[in-house]
Amino acid sequence: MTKIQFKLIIYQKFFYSKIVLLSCISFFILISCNNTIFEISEINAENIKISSSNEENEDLENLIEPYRTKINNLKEVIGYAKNSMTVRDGVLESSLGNFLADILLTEVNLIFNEFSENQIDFCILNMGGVRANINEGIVTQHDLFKVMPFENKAVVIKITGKDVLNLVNFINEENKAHPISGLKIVYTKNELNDVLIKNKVFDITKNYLVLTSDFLQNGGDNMYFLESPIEKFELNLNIRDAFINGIKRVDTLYSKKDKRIIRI
Amino acid sequence: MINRRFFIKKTSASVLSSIFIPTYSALDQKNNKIITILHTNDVHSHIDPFPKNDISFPNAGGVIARSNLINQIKKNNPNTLLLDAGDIFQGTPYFNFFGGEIELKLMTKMGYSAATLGNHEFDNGIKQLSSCLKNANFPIINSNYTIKNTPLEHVIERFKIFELDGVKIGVFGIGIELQGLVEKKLYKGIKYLDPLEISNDLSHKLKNDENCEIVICLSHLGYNLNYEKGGMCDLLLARKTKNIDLIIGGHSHTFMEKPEKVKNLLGDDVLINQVGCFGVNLGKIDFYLSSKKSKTESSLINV
Repeated sequence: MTKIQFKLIIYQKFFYSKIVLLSCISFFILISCNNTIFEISEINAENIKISSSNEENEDLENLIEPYRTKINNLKEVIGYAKNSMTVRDGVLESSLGNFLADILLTEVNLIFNEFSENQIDFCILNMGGVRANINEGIVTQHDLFKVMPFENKAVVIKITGKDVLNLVNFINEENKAHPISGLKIVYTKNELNDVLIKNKVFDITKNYLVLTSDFLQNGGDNMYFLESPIEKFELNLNIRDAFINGIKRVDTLYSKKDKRIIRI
Repeated sequence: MINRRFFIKKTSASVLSSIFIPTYSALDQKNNKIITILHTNDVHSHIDPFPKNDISFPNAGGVIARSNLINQIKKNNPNTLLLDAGDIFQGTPYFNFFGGEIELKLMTKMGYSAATLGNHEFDNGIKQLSSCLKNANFPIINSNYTIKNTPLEHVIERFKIFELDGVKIGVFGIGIELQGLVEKKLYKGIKYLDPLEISNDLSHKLKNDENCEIVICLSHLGYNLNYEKGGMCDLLLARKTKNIDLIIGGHSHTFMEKPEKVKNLLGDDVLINQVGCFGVNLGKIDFYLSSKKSKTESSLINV
């Protein structure tokens, strides 16, 4: 901030001194340029960090307060994180992605098994859908709203082995750390080397049960291979709620990268 | 005779005015002006600052700190525009519970001049977006979505011309292709038009027909998404257009240390700037303008 003020003061001082000099010849200039056309002669730019340290602004506080009060109950503690987790600590997998996909798969299997004898094979979400970190220490519902702000629902679909291969190739090409659970993939450079589903060798002739979000299943984030499944089970379950229930169940959160998807 | 009388009259009026004008208007302000552009993007409903134990942005952001910073800068230069490049919504419970109302009310209080639409503005559908925008007492600008016969008709402006200290600033807005990003039912009736074509048309109009000294594109295309594959993004927009001075970007959450200078189709400089996300940074661009008579060969961009 001081830097900006300083720059502007210098600028103003410079011009006030010029005013004195130039006012002598102001006659001519004013006569000749009544309709001055301006153009850009110089541009200065900077990106300033905004940091909060006991800032005050009563006007804004008064506006925010009633809203903040209404969401205060979300500050209820639901668990404790032993380590901080983010989706940005790996190339093809991440600590937070692994944690979320694992917990969602566990939670949804509990519900799914109530009406199906089959187990879900694997879970895929999108990296872009995970919007915040989980920081070490207490974890609240409010934190989970920031991690997963979208009102997406869990959906289980049966897709062909061919579409599973499309999915595996998509990850290879995108090279992003989408949250995945139940799937192990090894790429050698750009080539697909090995795929294990629930620790069994992937069989392209078989169909697989995949857990994902309704957003992705409807073609979100260009995951086209989820769009036309053989069968679809819509679970009326908000994915954030599933995360919150899962976290309450495990109580202590811990996650790390375990090389489930690697490139060698 | 008549000519001579007219001449004398005119001259004396000019002399008179020249005596009085310098007493209330500083001469240099008549020939040199500073316009400050402040901007944010992808704030995503972040109203409260990050906690001190956050691993990415400890103690950063928050509307109170942002507002105080804006006010301080405006005090130094009242000729300031405050702009946002979209994705105002979605990211904290404030959006889940109140649907965007508080974000727009706060932006109004902070003195935002204009904003454009990001893809997440559509997260509750067009109808809700349209009614929520009543909380914004500033124009929402988009130039490349067809909104005719949708609830956004008459709510969104195609472009806006601001006049500060006699300087005209034209602002238009470019949104991203919603297909694949937003569920179809949420943006039903909206068609995405080619950003290059729209930008070239509008920037030409703003610069040459409306005589804007500064033309700004608020873009939610992303800085360089799929640039190598020829995908639409700010880098491509800057290179393939004319008449844009500044592209304020969003969507890709790119933390640029400083704006990037790119040559446009005419070989002129275009600035691209983007300040990451979540309201942890504020972009500040000062345009120094001088009267055309004292024109230097080319403008100096210190970035």
